Amino acid sequence: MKLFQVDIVSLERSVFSGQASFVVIPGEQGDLGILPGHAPLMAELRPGWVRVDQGDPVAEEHFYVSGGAVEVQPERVTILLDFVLAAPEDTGGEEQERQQARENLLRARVSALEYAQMEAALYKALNGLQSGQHPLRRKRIR
Amino acid sequence: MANLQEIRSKIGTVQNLQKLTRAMEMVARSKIGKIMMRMEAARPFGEKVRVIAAHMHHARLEYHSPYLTQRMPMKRVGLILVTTDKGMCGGLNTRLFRQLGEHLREWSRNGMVPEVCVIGNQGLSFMRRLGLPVVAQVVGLGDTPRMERLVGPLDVVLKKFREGRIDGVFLAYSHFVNVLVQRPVVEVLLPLSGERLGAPTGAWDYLYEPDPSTVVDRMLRRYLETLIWLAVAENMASEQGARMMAMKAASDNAREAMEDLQHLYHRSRQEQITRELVEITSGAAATGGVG
Repeated sequence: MKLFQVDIVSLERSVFSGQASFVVIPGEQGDLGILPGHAPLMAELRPGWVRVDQGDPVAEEHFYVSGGAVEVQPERVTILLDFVLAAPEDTGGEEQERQQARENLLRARVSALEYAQMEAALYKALNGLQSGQHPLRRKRIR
Repeated sequence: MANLQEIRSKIGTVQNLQKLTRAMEMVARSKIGKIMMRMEAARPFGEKVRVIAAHMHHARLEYHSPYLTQRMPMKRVGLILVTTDKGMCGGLNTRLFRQLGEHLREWSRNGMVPEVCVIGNQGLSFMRRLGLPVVAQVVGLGDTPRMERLVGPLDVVLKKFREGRIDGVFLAYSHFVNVLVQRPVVEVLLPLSGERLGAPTGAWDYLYEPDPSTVVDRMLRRYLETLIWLAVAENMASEQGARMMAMKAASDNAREAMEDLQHLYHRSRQEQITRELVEITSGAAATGGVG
């Protein structure tokens, strides 16, 4: 089985470092499944669970991340955790987005992409309430 | 000759002082280890963020981040000054202020008034003395560089920079070379230079999600946050290092002073005894009680 290196790091410590055959990452616009040999990718994360699959269902590991970014290289995936939520870069744009989302809701026509964006915004807002939270670590019990 | 009682009480005072400085030296010694461990733990993250930011800087993106755009000449500048909260750390802050003074003089020659973001009490009182505008401040950080406390003030400065109200941001802190040596540093933080970011890793580019401008700006922001965090951590290590040395010197001085006082005490005591003996014998001689 082809494996690749996965590192989950924050400024304070390294949360996980090991080999995996498949990882699922909560990207801002939806979950990303990464297999070995993936094209270089940079994505922002939404708060959620990272699944690290090591080919054996018992050894599957889950980590809660409260936000950050992921860098994908063909042989390596690095998840950078923010322990505080960065303040929004452009408040003007977000206000616009929020307005757009409100209108969409009123028309009750929400595409999957918009739904994901709204969900991300919601998680972000929720996460702001519990900033400083450390990523939890959970091992699946079978 | 000082009287014995007085000397004894002086010895006691010096002894107490020495106990205090020795204790402070020990505390600083143990804290320095903890802070260095933190800095070590942050290295993988910092290095990764730097490499990614460097790659983004060199990738030929259509999007130009304001953080990377050079604006010449600089008309208005910002300054992030990292100092300690407490004193008792030798000339650490004074050396930094002296280094900073050169820049301040140059800026005022060109008619520039820096907008200052201060971290640490010592810097705050320095800026008050100079009468420079302090736009943001953090005091009472303790012994852990807490990102959640640093983000707010940093944001004030970054916002001013993005909006073009300042053309450059300088960062001043005490660089930790080792326990014995700390070097004051005043350097350009923004705009980020390619030199600072380092060489690119290759001629490819990432896929970006959600889009390049968002990802690039957030990544660069992350990089800036990391740099500030590291500067604060280094400053804390420098503080403890400088305090350790200052307190060690104070303890040594106290020991010397105590030795001198001890000498003085013995000599005075001996002199007093001699004097008393002389008085007794001369008294006896005067009353003619010889034989």
